[in-house]
Amino acid sequence: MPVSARWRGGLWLICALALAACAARGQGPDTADLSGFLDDYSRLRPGGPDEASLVYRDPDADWDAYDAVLFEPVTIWRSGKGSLDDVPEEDLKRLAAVFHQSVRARLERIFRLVDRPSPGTLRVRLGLTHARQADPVLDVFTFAVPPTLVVSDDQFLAPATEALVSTVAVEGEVTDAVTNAVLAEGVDRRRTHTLRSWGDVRAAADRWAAWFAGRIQRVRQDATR
Amino acid sequence: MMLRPPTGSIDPRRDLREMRLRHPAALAMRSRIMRAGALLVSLAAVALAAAPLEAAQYPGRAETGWCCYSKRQCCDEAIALAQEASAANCEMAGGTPRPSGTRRGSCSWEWFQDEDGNTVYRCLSEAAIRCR
Repeated sequence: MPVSARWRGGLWLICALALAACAARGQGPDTADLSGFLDDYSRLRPGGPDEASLVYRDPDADWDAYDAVLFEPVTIWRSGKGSLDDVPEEDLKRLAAVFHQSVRARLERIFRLVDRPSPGTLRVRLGLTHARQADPVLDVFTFAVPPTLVVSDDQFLAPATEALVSTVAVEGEVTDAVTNAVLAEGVDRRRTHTLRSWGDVRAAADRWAAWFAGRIQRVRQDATR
Repeated sequence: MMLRPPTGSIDPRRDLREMRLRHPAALAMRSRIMRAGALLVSLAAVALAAAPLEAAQYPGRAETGWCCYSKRQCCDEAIALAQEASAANCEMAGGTPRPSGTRRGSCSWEWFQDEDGNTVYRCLSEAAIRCR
């Protein structure tokens, strides 16, 4: 048999084994396609109709024991060195700030917002990600202190900003702020609306924040029953 | 033989234009326009001179060592260290670091699994903060 034919045969065998391995694993997420923002993707499962695309919830978590939230600044992750360079720094600040403000406004209707961990405090970390673990370099943006920016809703997004916001997923985790035990985590890649202006971005962030806070509230209510 | 116009002859339209230009009101207007132009040129020169100062950046690089079980935490640390290195490079060049309250940089990483099966990360970052 010619060498190239043997190579091709070997490749087919590797592909077949890989497919068989995927089938045996069931519908678990392909971790190479995920960003690495979360520490552990292995426990995620595909979400239901009103859930994130991939979700995990600790079935034993005592949600009713938490009355405060430590909300960390929203982070933006994108694969590739310098991959955020074409997005104006002001836009990165605005994007992170708009998202942060929307989620914070919803969370403070349910919880006390705090700056330091103490018993009974949830830590919420959220990231806007467009990255793959398989890629060797990331560009990261976050702010030390959440800015309070006023952005005109009529203002259209710069092309590079539009490209970024139309591709990002929201990833996040909710942990016990003292023990760091993961209570819930998820990856959300739903796309429902076209985002052209900062008004569109704010509306999308508000919708997501309302959904997110609603999920937490429902989980807490279920825990008290 | 060709007749040529005398060299000292006066074109009445040209003469009228020159008279208008020498009129005191026109002279004052010209002076104002020239002053405004000079001011604009000065402002542009100041802006051009200031732009490189604002944009001056001295990239810093940093490495965390095998520090973290979380890639996110590891990258955060690496970028913070790289920004500190950038600030130090800025000061060494005679500038003043201007942190913007943001954390921004690239992050690459290496990892291994410890004996308990936990993934341990070591991150490298390059970041640049503003320097004046």
